[in-house]
Amino acid sequence: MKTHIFLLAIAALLVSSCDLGDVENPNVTEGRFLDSPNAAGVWLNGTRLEMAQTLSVIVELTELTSDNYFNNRTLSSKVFDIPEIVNTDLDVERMQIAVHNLRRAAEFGLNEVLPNDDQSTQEQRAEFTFYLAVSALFSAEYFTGLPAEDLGPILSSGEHLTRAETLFTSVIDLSTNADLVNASRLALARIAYYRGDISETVRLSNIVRFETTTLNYQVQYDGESNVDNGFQFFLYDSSQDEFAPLPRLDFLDPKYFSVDGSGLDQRPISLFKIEESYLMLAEAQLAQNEIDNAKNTLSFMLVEVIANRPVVQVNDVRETRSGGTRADYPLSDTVRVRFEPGGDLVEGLILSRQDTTVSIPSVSGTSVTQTQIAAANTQESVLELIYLMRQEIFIAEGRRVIDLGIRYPVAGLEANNNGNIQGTETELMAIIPDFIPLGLAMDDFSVDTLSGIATMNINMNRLLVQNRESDFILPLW
Amino acid sequence: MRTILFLCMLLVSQHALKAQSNMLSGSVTDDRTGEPLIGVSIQIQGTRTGTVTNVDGLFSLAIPGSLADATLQFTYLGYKTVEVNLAEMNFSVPLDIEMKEDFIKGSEIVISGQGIAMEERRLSTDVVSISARQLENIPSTRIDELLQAQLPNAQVRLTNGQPGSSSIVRSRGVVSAFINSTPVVYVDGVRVDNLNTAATLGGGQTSGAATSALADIPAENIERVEFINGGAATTLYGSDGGNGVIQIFTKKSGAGDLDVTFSSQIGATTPTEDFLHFDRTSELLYQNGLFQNYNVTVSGGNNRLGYSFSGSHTDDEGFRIQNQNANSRTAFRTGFTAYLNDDLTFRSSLSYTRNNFLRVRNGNQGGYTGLWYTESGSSLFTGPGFNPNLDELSDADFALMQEFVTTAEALQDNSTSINRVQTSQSLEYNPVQNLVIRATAGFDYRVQDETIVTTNQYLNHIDDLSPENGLFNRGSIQNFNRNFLGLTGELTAQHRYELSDFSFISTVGGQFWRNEDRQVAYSGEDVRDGAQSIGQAAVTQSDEFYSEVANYGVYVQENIGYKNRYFVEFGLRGDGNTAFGDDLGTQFYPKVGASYLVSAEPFFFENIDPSIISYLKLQANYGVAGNFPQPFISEPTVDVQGFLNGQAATTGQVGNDDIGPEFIYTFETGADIGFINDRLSFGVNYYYSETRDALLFVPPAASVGDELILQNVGTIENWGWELSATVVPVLNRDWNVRLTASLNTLNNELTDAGGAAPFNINGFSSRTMQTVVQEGFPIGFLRGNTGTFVNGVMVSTTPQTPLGSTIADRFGSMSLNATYRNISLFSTADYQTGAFAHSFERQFRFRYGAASDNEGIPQAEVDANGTNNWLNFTDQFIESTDFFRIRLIGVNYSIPPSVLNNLVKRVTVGFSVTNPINFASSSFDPEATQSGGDQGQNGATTGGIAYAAESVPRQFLGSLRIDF
Repeated sequence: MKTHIFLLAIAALLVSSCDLGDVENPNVTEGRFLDSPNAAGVWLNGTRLEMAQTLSVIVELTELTSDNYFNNRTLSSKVFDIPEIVNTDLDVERMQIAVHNLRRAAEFGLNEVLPNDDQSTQEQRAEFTFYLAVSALFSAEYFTGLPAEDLGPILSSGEHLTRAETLFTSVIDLSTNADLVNASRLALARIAYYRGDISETVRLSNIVRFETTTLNYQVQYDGESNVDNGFQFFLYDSSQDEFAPLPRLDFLDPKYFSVDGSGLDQRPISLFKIEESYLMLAEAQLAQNEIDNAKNTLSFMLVEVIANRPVVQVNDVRETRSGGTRADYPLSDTVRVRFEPGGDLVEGLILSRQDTTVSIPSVSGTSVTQTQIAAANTQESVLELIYLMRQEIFIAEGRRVIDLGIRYPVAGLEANNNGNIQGTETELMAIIPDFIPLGLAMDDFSVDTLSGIATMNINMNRLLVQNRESDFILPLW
Repeated sequence: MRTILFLCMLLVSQHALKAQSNMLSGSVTDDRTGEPLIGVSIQIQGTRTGTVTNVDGLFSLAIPGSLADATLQFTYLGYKTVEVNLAEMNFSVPLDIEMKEDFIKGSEIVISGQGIAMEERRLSTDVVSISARQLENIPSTRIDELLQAQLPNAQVRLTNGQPGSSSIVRSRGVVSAFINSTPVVYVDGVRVDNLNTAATLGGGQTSGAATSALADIPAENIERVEFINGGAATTLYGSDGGNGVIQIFTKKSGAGDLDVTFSSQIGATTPTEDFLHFDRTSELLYQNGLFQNYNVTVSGGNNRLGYSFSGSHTDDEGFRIQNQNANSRTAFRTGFTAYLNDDLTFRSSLSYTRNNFLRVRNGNQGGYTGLWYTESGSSLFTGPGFNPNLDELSDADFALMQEFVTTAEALQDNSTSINRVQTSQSLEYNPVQNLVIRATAGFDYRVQDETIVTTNQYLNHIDDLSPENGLFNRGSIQNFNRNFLGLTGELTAQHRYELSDFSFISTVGGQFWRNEDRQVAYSGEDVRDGAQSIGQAAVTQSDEFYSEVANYGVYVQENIGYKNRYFVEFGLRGDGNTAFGDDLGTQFYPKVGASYLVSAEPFFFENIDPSIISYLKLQANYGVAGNFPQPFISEPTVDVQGFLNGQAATTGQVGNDDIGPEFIYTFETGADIGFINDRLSFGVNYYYSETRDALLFVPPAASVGDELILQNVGTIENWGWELSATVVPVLNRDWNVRLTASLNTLNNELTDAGGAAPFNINGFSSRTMQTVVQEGFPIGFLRGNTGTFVNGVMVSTTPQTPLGSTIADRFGSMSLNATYRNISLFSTADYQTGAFAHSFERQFRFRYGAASDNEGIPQAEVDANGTNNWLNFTDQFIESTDFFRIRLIGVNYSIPPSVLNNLVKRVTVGFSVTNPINFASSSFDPEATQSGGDQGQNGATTGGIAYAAESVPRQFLGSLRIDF
């Protein structure tokens, strides 16, 4: 009898344990999310986050590829500096995935979240459209070509520019947010510039320039939520001296830094700045041989815009630029700089950081002075100044690589999995214009410690001007 | 639950009073030596009535009147089973049994699947059993290390010498590109945590040294371990039997009066320096640490109640300076058997383990890591900066470097604490003779706490910042906590039936298990030195991961014997699993097999002299086992996190309603052959396994985002031969010499990727080195850049070229056990050939100019390009990893009781060396590799990349064992 009681008890235990088979997913399922209140607002904030992460990846990798920064350590890409870009490189995939993530987040917001949320607003639609437009613009600017939909066919840069144009125009129609509208106007001007349309570049640049002289549309980061400006880590927060600027750009570094070095304070990255409208306008004027007008435009920019941009004090005493590869970066303000062998000596471009804080322009800074502008009297010399200013003003914003004409290929991962890609397309190869020096030459320099002179290997801005007829660069020429 | 326990206690007390019939007593000895055999199982066949022999080989057993004509069975691992008919027994005379050693183990009783014991001869599959005596000689407390070189058909490789590190365990190849190859582990029928990779939120603590849950599975008081390779043998384990099964059975009873055993091992843990590039590395990083282990076992039992209690403490200072690899372990285990009445037996085991250890930074951690600094040349730019070629350092500079390293090591504070409780409770019910119904329930609860305190002092030191320039806001505390709860319940019935020449063993059962895995990571940043809690941090952050999975399975199995020499078996398991997609129903795993004991044919020994061929068994089987997918992977989700003071939602998991298990279909056939009265025996087995619906984490096209999609799209092939041999060249009263050796071949290939693009499972970026899954190649093959040289100068580089398999195509183990009277000598070894690995250490040495010979790169290349092309000819740093390693050499001497004036029953003293001798074709340790797991927790890995990982240390240990 006791045996039976025992067995019954065991059986009862087994029956009562049936709920042990239940499991509950601790994550938010897609259906549950779409049916929840304020889904549009939360998804929009998520799309801002995607925007931040996308820009972070692009800035990190394109700044390395360009002559702006050199990877003096082993983290991040070890080959983009060269530049060596193959479509099987994980970092090519990273960039592309970042752009597609932004596109997909914005599209999901527009197509799935907004229609399902009764409380959604037109302003939210405008902002989603803006991010979709930015993804189209990035697709055109950085890549040889890219699908515009999941597993879609490769669209050319021109086709992406058309998409971006339509979308930015919609934003202007939908939004009442002045920053968003002016950023979109500036984007339209940039699209005209890329197309080489001088008159439209002038017209659209002036429209936005007359609206504002302070536009600085920035993408925000949030260190406390671990949404970091990745480039800030390499510039400042890492103690390992990861990325080093070309010595002639030393005075602009670090554009991003945390107040206490802990990385919690994450600096925003500018996406659209009004300076660009001046620079495009000046270049368009120059292309029409209006040298004085171009010089005036540049001069106005220094006065109206750059002079009003903030300069901050940064404690950068632990910066030694003594990474794992090169330990000869100049560290003293007594070192003067030549932009190329035999070039003029320029003072004040290298800062002494060991003893005191340094002044760094946190939005836009340039070494170009009114005197230099006044002294430039040829189309070439003014054009070289414009591209030097573009380099300096947009440093650490991911723009330089576009000016250099470098385009990243469609990733091998896309080619392998996308039925619309045959594997023979030219877009599977990177574009590195043949005048771009390889073998790390763009980042190279020599230092004569005795005379205190650092000489850049190549003046890339002069090289750009010399090759301005190339199809890959200087679209107005 | 409390009610059940109360009922148990009540029944124990009631039935303890029940009257008995005849009392049978006697002894069991080894027929060759006359030595008493301890722990021999004595059981009335078809019932649960039984006992075991005590430390003097004596036993007594009450035989119920109702079983007076039953058969009494004596079984002992490694000995031939003896059966005695009770009807012919004179109970007034002691029964003295002499047992013969069994070199072929055909009569061995094994737990062949989710079932109850069965003779191995009836099975068409192989089960490897390892006895407590074999395990006693091995000083390790890790179950995987205990099994190393003990399993003829499996490889166990510890990937790092730091405490608690993960291992790579695999037998029949790599059946999955998604699931780690570690077998599922059962302790007394209860499934336990076998995570052998870093956990989702942490558990890596130091890169290249992921914390393994195998490292703290209680290894105390083990009666025996069974290992099943996979295939048809694991069919009844269903959805997680694909990688094989390790079953651990613990002691739950002693014999007779109180037996007390004390044992201790004391000695030194010393570094394995064989693979160091610079002799001075050892001087910088290593020490000889004191190792101490103390163990007490108390056991006893009679035909009512048996008990076995074991407690142990191990303290190891470790081989890294500053005792930074100190490892302390305390464990207890209790086991009870209660024969409640003639029908009911209750068994219980409970263990508790506490393990605390320290680790140093290693692997790809950046900053300062000891091995990267010394062996890979990062001393060039870390800290004050030195000539990275340690051989060229002046004594003065070396002294400065040593001062820097000693401080950098001392300032690290990476501690792990593990507390683990595991229990199994089972009740066996014999309603009628030959029918056994067993219910088992139990749990494994494991808590892992890791803390990494990074002080400002440490960071300033490695950045070479003087106190006046130092920063004091970079200190951090990172905590990681993982709680694992595994619940197992099983109900099994087995019936034996004999009809004329036929015998039937029918098994039916149901099993339920559930795993809950909760992980929390919480960290503090901007911490002042001295703080040990994130409560002291200026900023805190946290993250959480939770996973749960439940599995229900039912199974049936029929084993039919004819004339005790022809056997066929059929089995089927059906599983439901919460990780399966919604569109998937119950999944079935069938098996069929046959075995034929040719030497049991009457004609056999009429025609063949047993001194020529003494045993012959043929077998073949076909079966299916599975691997279930990642929990919750089937559901599409949205990721919600904080951003700019609000919630932010982004795309989460893509989901897949059709996701199901991988099915591993295995066909195998083989033979066991004994020669010269079994003094020479061979096992030969051929297997072919095909994983269908293999789970591949398919990287989507970039345009679909970065969320990997798990799909059942692949086919993986593994096949090979498994050969083993045992020879007993000398066997007489004084001598017993036994040698074993095995050779396994393995061919592995992903034959169909289902359209999935190649992906990395354990490597770095595609520009450096990856171990890759790609159609037409073995799982985890090495892929990197190949440089083409003309006149010693690199002229071109080809990216992503295949550079060799990381899976050995030949491997095996060997052992020697030689006993002369009271002295025994034992040794184990294993080997592999045909695998390759990449040395990041060499590549870094080249890059940083730390190697005087440029690591074999032509001087012309260095003259032309410096070391800038270092990543363009990764092929130059690939090496063959053939090895032969002696894992253990030891000698024991048993002092006869007479010498000790019979104060104690037995004293054994011994000396052993672990990992004494290494022969390897590679310049680096072929086993110390990145532990990997790029596909996350429990992901597949094959090793293959040597990068600042420690070799497993040597130990020189003296041992003492006293039986009171």
